[in-house]
Amino acid sequence: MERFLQYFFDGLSQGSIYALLALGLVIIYRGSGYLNFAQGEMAMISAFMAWWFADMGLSPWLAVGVAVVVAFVVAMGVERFIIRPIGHRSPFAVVVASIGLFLGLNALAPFAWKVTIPEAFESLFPNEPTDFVSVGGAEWREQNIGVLVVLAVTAGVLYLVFQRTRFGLAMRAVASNPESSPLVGIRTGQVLAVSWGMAAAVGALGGAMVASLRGNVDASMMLTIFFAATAAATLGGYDSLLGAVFGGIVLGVFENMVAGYQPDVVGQELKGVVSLLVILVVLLVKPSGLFGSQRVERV
Amino acid sequence: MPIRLDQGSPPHWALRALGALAVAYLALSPAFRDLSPSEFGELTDIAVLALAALSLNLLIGFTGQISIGHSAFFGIGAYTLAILVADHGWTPGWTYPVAALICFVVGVFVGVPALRLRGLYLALVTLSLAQIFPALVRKFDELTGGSAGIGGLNYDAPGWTGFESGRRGRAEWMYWLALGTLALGYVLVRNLVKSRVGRSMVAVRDNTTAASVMGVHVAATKTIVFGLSAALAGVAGCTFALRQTQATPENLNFTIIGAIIFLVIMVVGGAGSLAGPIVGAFVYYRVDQFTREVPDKTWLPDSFRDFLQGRPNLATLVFAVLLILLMFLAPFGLVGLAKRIGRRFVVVVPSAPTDQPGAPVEPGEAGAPEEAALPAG
Repeated sequence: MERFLQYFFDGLSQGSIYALLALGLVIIYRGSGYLNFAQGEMAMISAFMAWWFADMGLSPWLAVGVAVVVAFVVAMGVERFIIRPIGHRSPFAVVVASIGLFLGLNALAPFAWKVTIPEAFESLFPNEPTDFVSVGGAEWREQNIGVLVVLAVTAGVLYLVFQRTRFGLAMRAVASNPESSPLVGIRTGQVLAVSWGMAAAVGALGGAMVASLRGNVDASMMLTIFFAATAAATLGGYDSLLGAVFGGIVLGVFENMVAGYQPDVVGQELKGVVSLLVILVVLLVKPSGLFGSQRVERV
Repeated sequence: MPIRLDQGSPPHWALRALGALAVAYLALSPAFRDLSPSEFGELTDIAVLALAALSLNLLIGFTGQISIGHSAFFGIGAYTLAILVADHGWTPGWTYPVAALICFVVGVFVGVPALRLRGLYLALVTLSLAQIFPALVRKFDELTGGSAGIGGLNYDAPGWTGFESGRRGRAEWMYWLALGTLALGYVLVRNLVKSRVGRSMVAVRDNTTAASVMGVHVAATKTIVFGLSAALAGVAGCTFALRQTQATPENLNFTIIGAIIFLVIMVVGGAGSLAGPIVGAFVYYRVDQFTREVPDKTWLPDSFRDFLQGRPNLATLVFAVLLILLMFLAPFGLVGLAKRIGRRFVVVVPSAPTDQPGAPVEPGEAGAPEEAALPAG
């Protein structure tokens, strides 16, 4: 039981990170139908920015806040000046462009900050060896609880924005019917730009959480996490915010359990295989995911 | 006003013969130019990259199925060769068909679930394939040598080829091997694309529903093309392993970065164009080489060179920017751009199909069918 709880707690925080990234993927997918391959690398660059701002003397949480705002603004620009004009050509061109972003951002971090080795990142939560809550004999570390709280707050804010604000209503309208939304006076372009901004901001939070848990920032820190996040979004359904949170948590816990209980067969190295299998099984059994809406195609 | 040439008319043939001659000269000239072994090595690398991008082009450019996981097939090919040669004492040449067959089977296995997947999901599945391949290699270290990899893969030129032994002869032999497999792959893809199967592929790409209604077996077409594409990538991986004399999971070409490099080459050259991958590989390799040397160029302003000191990844950044710019300026790559410019001067009027007499089709409607549309995401 103690072992089970331990894996469960570790999986919860890992899953929260997947969920934060998956939320970003879903926000963009809902708006425009694009899969943003650069989501993970956008989060990585944001984590570097937080590290950089903290290095210049800002307090860690303020640094993260500034990075989140910068990510929001820059991503709006990316949507407006790169993705949207290219999207008029073909969806494939957008895939290529977002892969270009992936490649470019991944190369940009070491280039811009002249770092080739991981740089130390101060933990955002109490992280002394004694900072844990004991539950049933297992150690629930306070930083793991912290990450979970960040996810809960983010999801709550997103819920309020989507369900209780006028702008959220516009975003839902664009998601459900992009053709008719402009007819009722919704500025689709603005909605899409803000979607990208929100996705990047949520991703930036995720990146900061990853950096905080790892204790450093590194250009490759988001690679495996991004793949897991795509699996989480697939599991939850690409157009469901609730699904992203649920999928992320379930995947994180499941992965950690499998890796923990089968250290020889799966172990830490083959966690990625779990994600791949989840993607395959979901796509074969229920392609719309657990919470996604079925897509009906008119022929 | 462009010059109009009828397809199959003597001037058209002359033009094509001229092009074929130029290509043959470029490919065969290393035989009578006095190149150093390292220059042969560079050409070998280019040919290997071109074949990998060619395999991707068959899949993405002609059939509209996106794969961001071809590094895995490339790696499977390389490891098949490495394991058979190092552990079982095979002659490298005989491992090629085996590697191609294994990759074909794996490709079909990946392609089958892909039947139910719309474009983006296929990209996801292949992406995770690229992600787990190096992890699998490390995991099954009894077979693959784990992180250390498998080394000592030499392929001395067989006696009948007449190359001297030693470094120089091996470098030349590697080039001809890489060129030979590239030529073979090119002919295969060309014949495939120009055949009935190729027309089904393009139909599947441009409008899957319509293709299915027209009687194209969409599932079979997609799966087989996926397998063939994987097999070609595997063959490229074989030559790559020989050229590196080893296979290790750390090698970038076996990781997701490799898959993206192949994609970059294909897009830079021209998606859906036969010559695209070859042009793309050449441009990619030379630009990459040039960018790596930029910090040492003396003609650059000192301030700029100082700025670049200690900053890695300049080449990758250049390609990332290039990729995005190309999507704005020339979505069909350099070959597409060249065709567009060339059409201002020469237009080839296609002849009517012989078994169905009718008026010749206007060039604007049917000219260069492979450029009809980019694959749907």
